Parts: sequence; structure tokens; C-alpha cells
Amino acid sequence: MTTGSVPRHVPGVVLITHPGGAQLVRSAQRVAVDLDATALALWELCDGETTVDEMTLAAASLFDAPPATVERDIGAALQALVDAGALEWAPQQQSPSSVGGSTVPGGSA
Amino acid sequence: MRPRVLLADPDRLFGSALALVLEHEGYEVVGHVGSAAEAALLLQQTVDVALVNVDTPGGIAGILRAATREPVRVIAMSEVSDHEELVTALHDGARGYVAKDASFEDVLAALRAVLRGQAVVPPAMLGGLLHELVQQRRPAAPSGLTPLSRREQEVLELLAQGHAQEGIAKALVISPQTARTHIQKVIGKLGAHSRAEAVAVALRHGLVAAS
Repeated sequence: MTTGSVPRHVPGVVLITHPGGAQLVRSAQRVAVDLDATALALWELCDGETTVDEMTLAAASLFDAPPATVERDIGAALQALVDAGALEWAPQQQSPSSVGGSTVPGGSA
Repeated sequence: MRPRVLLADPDRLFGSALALVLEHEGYEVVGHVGSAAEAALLLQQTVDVALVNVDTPGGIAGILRAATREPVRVIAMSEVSDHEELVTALHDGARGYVAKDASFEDVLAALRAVLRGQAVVPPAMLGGLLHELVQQRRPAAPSGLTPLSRREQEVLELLAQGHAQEGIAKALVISPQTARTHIQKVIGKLGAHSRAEAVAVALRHGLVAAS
């Protein structure tokens, strides 16, 4: 676990949406990653500002699920995107609108 | 025992058609009402799920208030997929949201999920909703102004550069539906009524640089 990092998109990744789902494509590497609805929603939260803690609390409140379980699932989903080269961990920049620290499951900046 | 469903929808024809489908699929439709007031008597009996059109007089909150015997799980139905309507429905106590352009299969899937205790959000609306929930948990600016998130600021700048929804989605690598939600939020936060007015407000307040 690494603190003080937030997930953000790797430049050059393209999102393709279609009625059946969505795909992230890294054309240079000829890599495509299928996203289900939840993975797409998480991807869209990876704006370089939103922390994993914030994602966890939002999803836990929406789905009325234990935060520890949600955090584990989110961490695994984000790490899969990192491993696919679509996401990277970036240092968290403190801003007036950001709160708390970030816990990055299994990630490194 | 068959799950018991209440329909609340001012559109009698749609409600009747949905009732037929639900009965065919093994649900017991306890009644079809046009308002929360009409639902009060039916809610004195056991109702597992209420499918409630958001335009029903009395609304979701009225249905939940009328359910004095035991809590009822509500699925909101809407004419269109609208982010603000979704947020309001969940705030009022709905556990699910389906747009009327969904298929009957989608409605049945939502019913099954809510009966299992799950929340149901249309997949295309999930990203915008989670972004909203994250924003709601952040402290408000000391001035009392509603601050734009980083993503919303990016959307505003792209709007100011003349990008439309599709262009913004492509630039930010997000879905067009989520881009639309962000645009709506930016317009709302700036107290504007259109994209052009939002850009004008932003320019006036120095939120974006004039090109």
C-alpha cells in the first residue's frame, strides 16, 4: 500500500464505448481492455484528483456495502487497469476541495 | 410466495402493460395507482417493491411515507435518463432507477436485484453518479460558492474552447453520457441555463481564459 497517490489516466489511452460495453485501447501497444459498467465508472473517476478513499466511500454508500469489501474490490479493479498500462499512480496534489489521504492498494507512484 | 409489486404511474396504459408483463413473470401486482395518496390503502398490505414513476403526484417520498406497515423498496421509473432525477430519486429513498426506454428485461432485472437488496443504477449513469457522491462528501468552499471539481473545470475549459459533448468525452477519455452529466453539473453550478451562458459566466468571472 502506498499513501499520497491518486490514480490517473495514462496519456494516449482511448476509450471506445458501444451499446454492449466499453473498451480502453492503447493503439501503440495494440492493447485493448474490456470494461464492464463498474470498471468504466471507476475509470471515469480517475481524474488525478479523486482518491481511492473517496471512491470507496461513494461506492459503499451507494451500494450499502461494507467499505472494507468495496475498497478491496476497487483496489483490485484499479490495479488491473494499472497492470494493463491504462492507469498510473500520481502524487496527490492537495487542493481546497480534496479531503483526507489516499490509500492505494498495491500501487506505487 | 410471489413477490408483491405496486405500480405507481399516472400513465395508465403503460402501467397496465407493465402489470401484464409482471404477472406473466410470476410477480403479484397488488395494484396500479396514479398517485401516492391512492397508494396509501394498498400499502397497508405487504408490498415488496414499488415501481414509481418520478412524475407520480406525491412522488417517491409520498409512497415511502404511506408505507406505514413495513418498509417498501422503491424503484424509480423515469421518462428519460436524467442525472439530477437519478440523484433526487436516490435521495428520496429509491433503491433503483430505470428509464422508460429500458426494456422489460431491464425492469425485471432491476426488480430481481432490488429484491436481493442491491441498488440498481443504469450502467451508463454510474460514473456520473459516483462523481456526484464524491463531490457531495467534499467540504464546501468557505465563500459558500459551489466549487467546480477538477474534472468539471476541465469540462468548462473544453466548453470554452468550443467543444461539444462528443469532443469533451474524447478529450477526457470518458463516455459521452458522463460528459453530458459533467456539462449539466457545470451549467448548474454556474447558475447558467445553457452551455453558452455557462461559458459567458466563466469568462466574466475569470474561471477560463479568453482565447
